[in-house]
Amino acid sequence: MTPDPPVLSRRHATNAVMSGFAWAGTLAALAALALILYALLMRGIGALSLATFTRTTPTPGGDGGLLNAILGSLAMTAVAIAAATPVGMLAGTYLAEYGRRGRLAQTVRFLNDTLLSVPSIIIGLFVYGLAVQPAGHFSGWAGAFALALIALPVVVRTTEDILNLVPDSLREAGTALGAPRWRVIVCIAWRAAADGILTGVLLAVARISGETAPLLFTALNNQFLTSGLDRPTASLPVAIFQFAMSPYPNWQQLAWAGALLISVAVLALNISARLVARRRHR
Amino acid sequence: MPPNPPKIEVHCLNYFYGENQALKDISILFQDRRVTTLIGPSGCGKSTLLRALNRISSSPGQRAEGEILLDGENILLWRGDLTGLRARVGMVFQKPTPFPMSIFDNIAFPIKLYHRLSRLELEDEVERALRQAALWDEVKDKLRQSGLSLSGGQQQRLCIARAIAIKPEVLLLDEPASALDPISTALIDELVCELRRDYCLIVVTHNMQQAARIGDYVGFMYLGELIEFGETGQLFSNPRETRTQDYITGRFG
Amino acid sequence: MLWGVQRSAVWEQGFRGATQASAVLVVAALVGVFALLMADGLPALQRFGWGFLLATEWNPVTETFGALPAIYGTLVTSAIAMLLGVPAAFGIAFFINELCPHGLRPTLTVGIELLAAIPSIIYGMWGLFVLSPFLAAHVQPTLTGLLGPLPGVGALFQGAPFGIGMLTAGLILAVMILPYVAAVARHVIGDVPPLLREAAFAVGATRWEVFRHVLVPYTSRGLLGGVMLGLGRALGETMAVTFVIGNAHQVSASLLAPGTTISATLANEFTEAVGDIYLSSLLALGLILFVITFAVLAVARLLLGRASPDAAS
Repeated sequence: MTPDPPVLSRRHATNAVMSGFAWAGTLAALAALALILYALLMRGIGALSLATFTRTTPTPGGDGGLLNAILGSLAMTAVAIAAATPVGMLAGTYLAEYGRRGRLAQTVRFLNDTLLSVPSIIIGLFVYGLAVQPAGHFSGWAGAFALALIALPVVVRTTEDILNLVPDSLREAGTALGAPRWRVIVCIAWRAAADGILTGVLLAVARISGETAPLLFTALNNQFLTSGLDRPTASLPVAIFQFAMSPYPNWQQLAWAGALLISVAVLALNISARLVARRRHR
Repeated sequence: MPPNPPKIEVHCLNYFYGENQALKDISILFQDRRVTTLIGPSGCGKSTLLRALNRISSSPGQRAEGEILLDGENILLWRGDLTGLRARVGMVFQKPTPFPMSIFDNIAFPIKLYHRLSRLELEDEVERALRQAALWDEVKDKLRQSGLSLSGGQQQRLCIARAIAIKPEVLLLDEPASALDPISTALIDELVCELRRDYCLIVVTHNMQQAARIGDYVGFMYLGELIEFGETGQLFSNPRETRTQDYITGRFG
Repeated sequence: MLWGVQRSAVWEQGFRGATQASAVLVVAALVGVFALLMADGLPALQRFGWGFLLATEWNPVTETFGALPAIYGTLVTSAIAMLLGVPAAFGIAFFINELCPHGLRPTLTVGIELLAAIPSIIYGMWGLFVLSPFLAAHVQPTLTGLLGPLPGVGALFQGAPFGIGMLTAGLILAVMILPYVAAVARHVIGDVPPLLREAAFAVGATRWEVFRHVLVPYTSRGLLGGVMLGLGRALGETMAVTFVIGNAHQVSASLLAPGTTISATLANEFTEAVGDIYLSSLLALGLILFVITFAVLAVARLLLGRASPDAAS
């Protein structure tokens, strides 16, 4: 039976059209990336100056910088990661080492995967009701709490995934030496998984350092430099939101500067996470 | 060869993985300061027997009946903390399992589990273990390097050094050379013969030449049963059972 | 001598307990979110009843609140995002997995993944300052001109070209969900046994036919899971939408018209809301969003099992 020429050519035409579509989709996505990065660089670099890093929020129409927002972001991110890392590591360890196929572990795994993608604004609402409303005021602590809740599932998931990659033979070897379970986990499994867990933590930092929505109702904003996190605290993303939506050109300028800073930070974190993940044995 | 006092006595051991019976009515004596090898085709239960001796796989769904006496004490009745048992019965696995830490820390890890030593004492103990495992000369200048940086044969000797660092009474080796090249295998064999002076050694292997080289006694297992047990020379030259003869002459397995 | 042995039981209990408590904390967080939204949204739900879901008026002055405009906007923007984003994401997966030269794969993969790394506020700014003016000047007038007069479809493309509105929001959402859907698609298609693929090529199928008739059916469950994951993202995305949606509590057929979404309403109004019933209405909106996204994400999880690679973004 010889192939029917019209059928063949129609099939090849479909193949060509669909391949062209796939090409176009990929190009469009990369073009979007390029356009966004281009806009960031063009508008952001021009807006950056020393004052961006040394001065605080300007008065409308006046001059100023992002110092308070940058410091607020750094402080809240640091507190959030310091809280989410140990809890997330322990919970991930429970899933991979103790719970495994058990009912509690399955439930936690499912809910954690869901928490991973729950809209971050919902987390903001939750922390507002849990911490801001009872305290009677917005605070940096509440903002850090919200960020920690967003970082937590990322750390849980990566810790579990990485611990699952540690071969059981290594655990058995530890057990055979008479090491109790917790020591096998802490001294051997965690150590073998250290790079992967670090990757997870870096990704979590990247994730929360750009988060805006959960901070709107928790840390709010602050025009001034504050010491401590018990008052409303400025953050880079919220400052960008406020400045970008304002009618003042110099505020919009600052918003672009801030946007560039955040993007550079997030991309740098992503790249270092990749580098850590690629590193094998020291 | 005069018999030594038994270190481990196994009486009527049945072992189950869920519904599956992996060991059937095993009775065997392991003498102190002798090398006993266990041979048999894959899945015959030799590894299961070995792993039962320090209860490394007592997870839910697995259950043992019978007796395993270590110096007269039934280890199957030990409840709760098994670390004391593992301090007395060490184990080395088929694939080298260096921990992701330095060579020094690999050896120091088990020592620190049981003893509180000064830095100097610890260094002495690590050196002693590495010397006993015939690895000292190769690694003494790079104790700080990762255990993973060693060759496969060196890694396996590192694991043996780690196992003997806490001076166990019994050493279980589960196909210790099957993942290694011939030269490394020869080194491991030599090492086993050295260690025979101090330990009760039990070695699982599917390599009959190795069993013949290193074993004082040998047990042949098949489908969960211990078919034949005896002195190595006698069993290999003049087996009583036809199944044993078939196996060692390569007719099956 | 054996100092480790006696103490180890205590440590073992303590460590295990700590890991378990941390795991339970994850459950508590999610249950807590639901309980709190439920409790705080209840006054509004009691006052407005089921009508809350269908009422279109949102007036803080008269304290009349209806969720329909926000729900409508959320669904419409997400639908646009899925309509544009999902085919493109599958196209990307097809291209990277099946068409492009091997050497180019890592670069392209990283490029697409970077789209997921860009913070949503950046998308919002870009949408507001770059995309909207462009759409207003060049795309929207053409759309109204070409499609507006048509019966039926025409209703979707009416009104002045503001630039901002539901179409722009949907477009940005499409770009934002792309990397997630594409990553899952690439992942599940990459897991197809090579033998199956080769067998399909062996009978003379073209690359597209192998993709369409072998790979896609074989992985349909995972692909659908990826789509649901993307939908979950689109429904809940806040900042990018807030910038470009126009924040108008109205239900209009035209995609070019400004509207609002649940998340954008919350972002815009929550901190300025005065009065218990206003606040409660916003929290009730939050509850609706939470329930919808939870359901969508739960379905995604059930479809995907543990196959999704989205922890890495």
